[in-house]
Amino acid sequence: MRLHSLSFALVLALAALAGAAGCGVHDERAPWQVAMHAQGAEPSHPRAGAAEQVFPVQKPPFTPGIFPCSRCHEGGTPVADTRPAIPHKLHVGRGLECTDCHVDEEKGPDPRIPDRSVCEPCHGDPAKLSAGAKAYFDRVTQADGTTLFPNRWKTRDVDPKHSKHIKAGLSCVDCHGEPSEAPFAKPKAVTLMDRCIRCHEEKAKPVKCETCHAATTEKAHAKIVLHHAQEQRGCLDCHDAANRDVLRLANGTHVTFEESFKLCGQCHGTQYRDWKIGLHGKRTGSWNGRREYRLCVQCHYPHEPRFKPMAPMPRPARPEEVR
Amino acid sequence: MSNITDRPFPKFVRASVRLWTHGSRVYYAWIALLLAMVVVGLLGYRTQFSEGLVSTGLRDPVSWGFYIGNFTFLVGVAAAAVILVIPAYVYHWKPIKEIAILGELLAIASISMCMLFVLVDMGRPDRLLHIMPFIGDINVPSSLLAWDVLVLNAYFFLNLGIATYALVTMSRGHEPHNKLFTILVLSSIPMAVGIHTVTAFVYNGLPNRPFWNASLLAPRFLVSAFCSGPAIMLMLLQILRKTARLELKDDAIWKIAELMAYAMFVNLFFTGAEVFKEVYSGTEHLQHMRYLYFGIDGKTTLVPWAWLSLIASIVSFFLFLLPRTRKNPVLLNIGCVLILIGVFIEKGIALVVPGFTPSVLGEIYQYAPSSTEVMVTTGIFGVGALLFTLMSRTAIAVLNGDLRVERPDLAVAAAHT
Amino acid sequence: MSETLIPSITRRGLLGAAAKAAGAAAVASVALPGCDDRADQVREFIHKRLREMSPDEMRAFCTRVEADCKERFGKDVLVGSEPPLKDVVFGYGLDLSRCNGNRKCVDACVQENNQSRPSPEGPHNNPIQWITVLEMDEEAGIELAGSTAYYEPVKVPAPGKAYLPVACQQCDNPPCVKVCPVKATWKETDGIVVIDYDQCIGCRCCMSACPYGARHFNWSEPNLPADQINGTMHVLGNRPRMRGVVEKCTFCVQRTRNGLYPACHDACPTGARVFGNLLDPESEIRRLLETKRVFVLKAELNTHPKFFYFYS
Repeated sequence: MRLHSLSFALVLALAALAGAAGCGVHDERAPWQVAMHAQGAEPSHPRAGAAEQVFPVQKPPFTPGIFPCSRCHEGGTPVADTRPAIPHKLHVGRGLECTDCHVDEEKGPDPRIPDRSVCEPCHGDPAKLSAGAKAYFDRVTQADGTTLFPNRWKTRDVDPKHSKHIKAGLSCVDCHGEPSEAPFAKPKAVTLMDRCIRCHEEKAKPVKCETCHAATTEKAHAKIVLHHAQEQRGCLDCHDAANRDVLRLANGTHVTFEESFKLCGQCHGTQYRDWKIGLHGKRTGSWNGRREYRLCVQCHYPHEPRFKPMAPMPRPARPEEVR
Repeated sequence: MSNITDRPFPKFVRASVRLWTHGSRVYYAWIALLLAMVVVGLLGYRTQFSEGLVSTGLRDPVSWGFYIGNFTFLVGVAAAAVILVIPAYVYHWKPIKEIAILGELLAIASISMCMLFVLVDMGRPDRLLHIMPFIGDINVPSSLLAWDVLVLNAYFFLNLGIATYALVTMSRGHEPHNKLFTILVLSSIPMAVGIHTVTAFVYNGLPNRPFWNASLLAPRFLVSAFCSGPAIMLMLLQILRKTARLELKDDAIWKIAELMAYAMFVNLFFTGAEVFKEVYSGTEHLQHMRYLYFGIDGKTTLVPWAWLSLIASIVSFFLFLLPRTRKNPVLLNIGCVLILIGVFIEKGIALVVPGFTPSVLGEIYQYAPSSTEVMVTTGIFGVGALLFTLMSRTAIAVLNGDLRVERPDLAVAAAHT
Repeated sequence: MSETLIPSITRRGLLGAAAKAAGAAAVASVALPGCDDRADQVREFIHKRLREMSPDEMRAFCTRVEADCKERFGKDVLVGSEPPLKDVVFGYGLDLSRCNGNRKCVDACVQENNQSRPSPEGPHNNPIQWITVLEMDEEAGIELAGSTAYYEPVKVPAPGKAYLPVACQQCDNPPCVKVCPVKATWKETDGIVVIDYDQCIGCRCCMSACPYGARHFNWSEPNLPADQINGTMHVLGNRPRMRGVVEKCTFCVQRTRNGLYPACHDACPTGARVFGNLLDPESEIRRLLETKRVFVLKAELNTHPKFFYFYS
């Protein structure tokens, strides 16, 4: 009997203890959960404020992608060429065709610069040379008596594959324009390139850089290896052919390098959306004040956007090593 | 001044001290051994005090170990020693008073050891007062450890009060006031269940440690305590029966052994139930048991101990189950030792360490007590044994009628044993 | 903008006011090791809990910590006690698709929060790191068993591996707080679970209770070289700890209560971390919760972490 009441008291005591100790049971919504549910019930209100607290970080000087292309590529103004040139207009005015001079005896028409022998029939006798022609030949004659003609196009890395173009039925003037001036009204390279690209696009020919710029990747862009959907994309999907200082969206709109996120966002919509609300990419500054964001290209090298593996910091000490 | 020293209690104390300082060669040797253990403990603790807990084998993944395991084991001993009063009470054994008093004393010694184990396990022992009831601001009701400190303190003072009251009263030639004594003794029984339950709940209430977060844990604690506590009591009673003229019939011993067999059966059954649940479900919670019994990835520090514990428990179960073996004094004591080994491991490192291994983040750190921990533990067991030896000397003398503080003017009659 | 958000007890103002109050301050000690002044020990005994201190007492206490640091490290530090901001509950998000296990966050955390540094040559080597970055097999998902924090490939991410940084999850229902026997740890109104290092008795119950292994114990004297101290401190955050107490991530309370992002957030080179005020619908963290599917670790334990993981 006594034992019975004893055990009963014990059970009561234990139950009371458990009840008391378990008083921290968490079955209510956390404040932010309440806020979120309340918000879900209401019509969504326009969000203001946060965006104006978001600022770009200062540009680091040599971040890939921010680096202006015009530092290498002639962009705005034609580059003055001091090299001597044949006055094409004069020659054409005398009834000559392009292929009268630009010709290979075996292959036929050839874009190469003719050598001195091509000039010989007309300019063989030094006494009959005009002042202009004399000056020209003086400039191109080396000290040892040989002649070195300026090989204009070979100074560039462009290999326009003339034979292909000729086979395709293009005449010289289709690309180079009328030889109305002396020398050619040397087009800005990019302007000429623009013409190439337009034509290639019309004829559904390849427009990748390496199509024409054979040596490009080995020289100025030697370090650029495109690992960015390279099967589907080329340089000009992002870069503008005519203006290297802007980027080009798919619809042809130009955007500055500061707005490169718009370009990236064309394909990476999810990341773009996340980035705009601070979920993708890094923000620094103040969580409740001025925040600074980074452009896509400040973290991702645009030609190879995947992060490279990096060396980790040292591992923590194992418990066995603590002493 | 004289009337103070003539009062019963100071006289009682003086008589006790006289008892403690006099004894046979064996007694002196025993005391010397215990003192040596205490010195070892102090040396160990000196290292720990100057270096920090880094001198233990404990690290972040396994942050409790040998100390807390011993603490748990001893809470069980403290609880079971008192709970043993129940069968004595139910079966009307002749030496019920003796069993009760010795149980209380064992409880006092065990609880003292428990408190010492908690103290040495603290990172900041200098802030002990922070966890003291009424002095510090303890986190009740929500912290089980705070509860544990509360109930252990209460239990300690309750038993200390009962034993002191009973012994002082008896030393004056009176029986302790029967009704009050009985009520106090009986009230210590639910307290005993309480301390062990709360201690189990300290572990049990941690849902991130599935090895402990099983509702069988508290019942398992109790039944295993029902094995280990009486095992110590049985051996003590036998020793005291030989050395201190304690009257105790064999029947009582055999009965206790039989009850222990049942307790061990329930303990093994509970363990089996636990093993079945984990093994058959085969969830990730099984890892802890796997680590305990088989090791993981060749990390097998605990494995021999786990099997030793299991085998010792099973063997002792059969020794106590069969009347022939439990009535054989040698086998009986072998059984007691086996039970102690079994439960000491089971409620010690085999309880604490697998709970932490693998850790909550899946790390397997192979904990093993350091020499410092072993030294400090030795010291604390030395203190406990010393306390019990001294207290039981007084108690036996009182029970035998050798220690009398009858009237202020009478000389103290202390027996020289 | 952020200037207005620094609560009324600013660091500078605090310093001046505290200097006056310092003399009368028989408040509490910072039981810094090596500080064996008896008066300090007496103060230690009657230590008043940080969360019960009046602003004056708190200021005096911070001044004492500053003086102790000056004495110990020979360095001027500022110990603030900024209270939680109003209407702010901090939340953290981590994009597991982006984490590559580089441990820059761990390093920044150690520097910022004055954690014990490794000292293989010193008497004690007890480095503490509040962030644990786990490496696990990519195809197994979040599988803690078999994960390791001790990976050492030359480059991360190692092939086929995924990474999971774990620190204090700042649970809304923190089991560590529940089990602390001396109320030495609690959840502030901004959701940060903090520790009163002077109240902690080092029982390590909270470490047993924490499902995330976020709490770390000073097994020996912490090793904090004077030249590596971050002098901007918070009394509940990165002030130097002493031997025998537990410490953990506080979401950089000394930074976040002053409007800054946590150090790990700013250190992450992959931008995997998102931090903000859960009560502000414009904050990054709220937008995360509203636009992404997030998950928390060990949700079944009902701890309600405020640390959300997601895959972008």
